[in-house]
Amino acid sequence: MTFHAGTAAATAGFILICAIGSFAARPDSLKLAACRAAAVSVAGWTEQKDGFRSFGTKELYDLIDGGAVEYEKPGLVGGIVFELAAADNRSAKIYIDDFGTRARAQSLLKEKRKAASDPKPLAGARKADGFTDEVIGGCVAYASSESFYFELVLTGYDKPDRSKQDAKAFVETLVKIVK
Amino acid sequence: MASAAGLAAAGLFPAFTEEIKSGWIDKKQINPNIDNLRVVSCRAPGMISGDPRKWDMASQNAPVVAERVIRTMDALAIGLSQKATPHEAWGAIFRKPESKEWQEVRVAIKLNCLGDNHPRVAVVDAVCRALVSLGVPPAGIILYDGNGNARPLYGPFAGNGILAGVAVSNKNDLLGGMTAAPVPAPHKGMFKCTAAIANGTIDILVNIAVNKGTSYAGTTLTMKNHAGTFEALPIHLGGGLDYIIAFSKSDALLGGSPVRQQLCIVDSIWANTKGPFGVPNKRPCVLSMGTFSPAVDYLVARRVREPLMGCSHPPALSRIMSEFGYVNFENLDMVSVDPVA
Repeated sequence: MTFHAGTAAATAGFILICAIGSFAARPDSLKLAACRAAAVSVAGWTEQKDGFRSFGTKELYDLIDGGAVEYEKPGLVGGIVFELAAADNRSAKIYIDDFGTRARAQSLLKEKRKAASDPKPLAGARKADGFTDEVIGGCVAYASSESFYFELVLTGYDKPDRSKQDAKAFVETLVKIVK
Repeated sequence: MASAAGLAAAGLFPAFTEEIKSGWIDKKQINPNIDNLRVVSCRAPGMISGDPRKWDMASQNAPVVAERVIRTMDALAIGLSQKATPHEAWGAIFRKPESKEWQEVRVAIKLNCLGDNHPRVAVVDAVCRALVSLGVPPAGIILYDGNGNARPLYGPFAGNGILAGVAVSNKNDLLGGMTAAPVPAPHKGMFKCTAAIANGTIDILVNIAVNKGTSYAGTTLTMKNHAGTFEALPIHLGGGLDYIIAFSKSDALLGGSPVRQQLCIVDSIWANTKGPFGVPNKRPCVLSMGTFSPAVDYLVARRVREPLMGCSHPPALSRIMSEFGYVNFENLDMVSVDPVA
């Protein structure tokens, strides 16, 4: 059997392309874990047992059914979700998604802003980087930084303004990690 | 080599045969005594004492004034059936097979258990009480959602907000799991469906949805609620609104004698402009019901979601009526029922 240098080079190239492709398809798990740890360390909040899940696109369909479409479309690579609680009945469900590129994460944020019922600026964030939308008992905060997209559901509040203050604190903490 | 029909019957891929059985033929009446297009609705802020601060099941049911909800449901049943009393009204809405006595009748109630907004316990209880008042034993009523799972959400309320003895299924477990069932055009094929509904073991199917949005025609109401009776994934694999319309015409839902799906309810006490997951951001305080799922959804979209919630819907919304053979439905309106004192 003759060994061809060209074949070897092509094979090596194929393996390299596969390796790069495989690497590119994985979320930055170190940064995701660091984000989780940082959010948990925000004063007054405790992580809830059984509230953590990591997901790719397929698992996101299990979590949020048809809602997953709008995350898959701009190119979700993967993410995590976890829940925190504070002593006075406040709770926070935090989704952190890695989209691989800043442009993709920003494109989802733009779509979310378009779909929001009454988007308001997220205190401390540039208009392009985050906003909040009130829900009954709190708010949902949306933000992005680098290749990451953040969605925080804050409930258990008597006054929406307080939920927005908490959103600001969480988002500032998360942005510091991914910058 | 397995035949295409054999693979299709096994649910491995959609069948492309012409003999797919539909539960729907144009102008079919779901209930011979109630017009398909009659949809009743009641806006009653008195059904709640305030807003929940959180959206777990206990929190979103705590501010609900259950007794007021039950009486509102009775008033809606009277409005829908145009009968004089709640008992007569529920007796006109729910019909049993001639061969069975009421105590032999089996009922399934499809709930929406995905996300954070779920049919309120008092609404579910009102339907259970109505069925029991006709003679259905509580154990003959099964609450389910094959997609979101009713058991962890509603199980704790059985005997504690929902009539004792009513069964709450873990996914489809109490309904025989899933089996392949025919779905007609516009998304023809064999798809996985709750077995006891597909095979007709269930005599009466009640559809209780909440008011949410989605990317398909802008709504997640009673039609989309059956993603969870039928497997949901084909919606996201290109089926979209075609698949939702198709399973809404299926023999599993609209077949049977009398027709299996007899009542469709939308709980808009709290509602989501977006969805299908997420925390409600609106408080319409509305309950709506009708016998024909597309009419209920179309009118809730046009008369609740748009004017009361500020939503807009794409032109595709009209397909949920036109695909069932209806024309000139744009000016259709709900019948408004006064809030109970």
